[in-house]
Amino acid sequence: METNTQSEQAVWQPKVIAFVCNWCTYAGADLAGTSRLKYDANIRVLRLPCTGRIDPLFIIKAFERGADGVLVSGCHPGDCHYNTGNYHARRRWTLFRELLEFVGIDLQRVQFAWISAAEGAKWAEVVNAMVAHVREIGPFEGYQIMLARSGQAAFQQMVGAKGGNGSGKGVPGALPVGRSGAE
Amino acid sequence: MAEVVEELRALARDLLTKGAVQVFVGYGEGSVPGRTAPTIITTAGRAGELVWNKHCLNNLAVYLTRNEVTKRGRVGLVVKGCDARAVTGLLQEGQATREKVVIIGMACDGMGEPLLEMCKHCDAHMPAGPGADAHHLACDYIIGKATAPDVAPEDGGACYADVAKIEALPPAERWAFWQEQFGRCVKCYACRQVCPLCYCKRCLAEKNEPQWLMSSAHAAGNFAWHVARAMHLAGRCVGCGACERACPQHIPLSLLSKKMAKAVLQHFKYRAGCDPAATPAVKTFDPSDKNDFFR
Amino acid sequence: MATIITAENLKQLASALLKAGYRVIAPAREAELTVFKALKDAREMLPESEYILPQASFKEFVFPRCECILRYRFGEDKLPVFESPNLDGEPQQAVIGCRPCDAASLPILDKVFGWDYVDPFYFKRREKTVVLSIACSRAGESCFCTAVGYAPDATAGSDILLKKSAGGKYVAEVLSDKGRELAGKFGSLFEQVEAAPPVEVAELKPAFAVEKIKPWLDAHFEDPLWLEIAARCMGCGTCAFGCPTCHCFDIVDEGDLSGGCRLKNWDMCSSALFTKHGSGHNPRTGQEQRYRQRVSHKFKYYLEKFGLRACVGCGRCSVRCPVNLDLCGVLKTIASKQA
Repeated sequence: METNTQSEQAVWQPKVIAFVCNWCTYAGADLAGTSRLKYDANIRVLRLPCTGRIDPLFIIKAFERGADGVLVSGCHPGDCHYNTGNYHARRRWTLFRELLEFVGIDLQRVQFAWISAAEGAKWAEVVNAMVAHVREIGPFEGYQIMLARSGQAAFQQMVGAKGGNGSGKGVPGALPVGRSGAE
Repeated sequence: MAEVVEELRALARDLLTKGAVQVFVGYGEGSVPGRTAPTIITTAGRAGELVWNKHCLNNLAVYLTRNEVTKRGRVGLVVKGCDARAVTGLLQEGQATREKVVIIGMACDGMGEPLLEMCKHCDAHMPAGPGADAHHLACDYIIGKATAPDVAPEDGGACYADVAKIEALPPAERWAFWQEQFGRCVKCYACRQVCPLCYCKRCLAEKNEPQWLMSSAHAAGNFAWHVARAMHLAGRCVGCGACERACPQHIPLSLLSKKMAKAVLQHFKYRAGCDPAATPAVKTFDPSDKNDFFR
Repeated sequence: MATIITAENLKQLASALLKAGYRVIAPAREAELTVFKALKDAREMLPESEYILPQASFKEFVFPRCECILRYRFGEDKLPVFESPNLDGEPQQAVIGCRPCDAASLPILDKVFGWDYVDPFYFKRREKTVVLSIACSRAGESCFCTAVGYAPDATAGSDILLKKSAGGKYVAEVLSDKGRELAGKFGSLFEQVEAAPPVEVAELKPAFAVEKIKPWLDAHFEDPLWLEIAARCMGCGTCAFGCPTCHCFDIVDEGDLSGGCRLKNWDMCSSALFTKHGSGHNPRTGQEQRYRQRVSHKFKYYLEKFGLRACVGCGRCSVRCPVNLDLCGVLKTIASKQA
């Protein structure tokens, strides 16, 4: 939970974005809520009609915006509200994972789940496990460093000057890195 | 070689004179020794400009997506076995019509002096000719005879040796490797422009409402571009190598395309551009696709 | 009297400049390419004999490929705070070992960047740049500097011009106040000799008669030759980005409600969407129109406006072009068509 107390601002909080489908996982998350199941509030949920709608670039965008982890979840195969959306998604994610791993991204930061509307408990379990894991492996510093070298630091980066530090702090007006406490 | 060139020129002359094609796309002499240039002719009189040698590197299939060429009418297109796969891809994706192209398949023993690395693993030295079955793109004409033996697609894994080298690196080193490679990118989009399968009239990279990718040539923008392009081509890229050859910054783009091709083959038993009758792997699905990485 | 510098002292000069806090830009190797690099160590600098031309120009040190021109963040009172990057904090720059063609691009770029708006981003960097070129002792296969009014030993844009002489020595011609200042500051690395020794300068016959180009362009806006030439063009930016005189740029904003920046990025007129208007109309939908624009800009419009052609004949565009679209060849064709 985010408060404005000094001590809490000093502790890093992981930012995990969840792209979920409306018909299954979102409903499942809702069920977790109505069942009063506790799950980590570091998850930020984005609702889409179907996992088939989730473009791999959303994941890149999430990392660009400071996410430390991304969860993608939808209907179980065979249960897609649009019949085949999740089948296409499954193929895409199979390939996208290989690509992300190939360029050096830790796949533990990108996780996938099938969570149905009845699986409130599973939602809570998956979220808690994922956030705990991201908390353990720490912030996605690689991406933050890459961002700190971009934007206004691009020229410095090109000429080989040391542009940007790990946290992106000290670079005024840099793209948000999610941990400056100034949100 | 000389007879092949003469046969090619005679064929071009014939097709243009008879009106079988209105525009002929082949290779011509480059501006310096050791290069050829795509040569687009519309009159039989210019057939003498066509050449065929070890420097015919360009994938001319890309011209089937260029309005400046296709607006002239039926296209006579010179292809090597590798380029023909791109034609297949374009046909599968409805970007070209078979009747609007006259395909001239050139027997090829490999390009480059010294021989290009990718040519060492080629299994398409002889494109399929007229009468080939529905599972092969049948060229309308075949010129020449290949002497180099075809190598089985995976060549015992040697074809993916450079991919495997990267895969074997620890993640932090893999990340550092690509940060360095992508760091040189200047966003000239030569990779995209020469690619026959990158035919979108308005690329995702050029949209700004919303902005999908940062268009700037900085670390994050370059990363997003190359990842997006690799993903958009996954299962569609035919591995012709045009992108890597076009890149002025020598970014090893073929590593990305080969990695994706390896993944597509491994997971979906599909190889882009080989079978015109096949459904592309990323266009379809199998209910029994594996999902062991899903919780 | 002549001034001499040895090849070894040239390296020492690079070293001394680095020590003195200069950004030293020189041809160096990177991923099997010869590029202009901001050196970390003078030993990275390639000996002159190992290159004719780096694969791209050094323009990105006065006109960066991606440059921040403004940044913003939201202050305590929720109002935006705008800041311009402090270019006064940029170090002095020395380009060492470029060729006369690349040096000549600077007076050309000065015109457009100093035209209706004096671009501080360009000029602040330009003012801090001193150029030490090395004349070509051999011409590249694709070079055509002599056709466009330059030469393997042209002086335009150079502050000091070195000409190769026997025994690993260069004859140094100091051409400007900046050059004088540099030669003075590091005078111990230069020596004075009685007579100038013989120098090796390449000979390059002009590939075409450049005075024929503009008259043809004036009268052949709709010529079918444009489609013939440009049908092959892929519309990428390889030529523009390597070109020493190309200067088109795009302004993009990156950021969100917590902060961001406005960037000036290289752009390319060959791109299909280059002239797409906000209305949706695009006056240049065909590659032949875009290629016509490219050649006309360099050999007609720029000449009319600024009295200089926007081309130094380095030939990089042809070398880098994935489809070997040879500008020199195009100009030869045009010249031959013009009486």
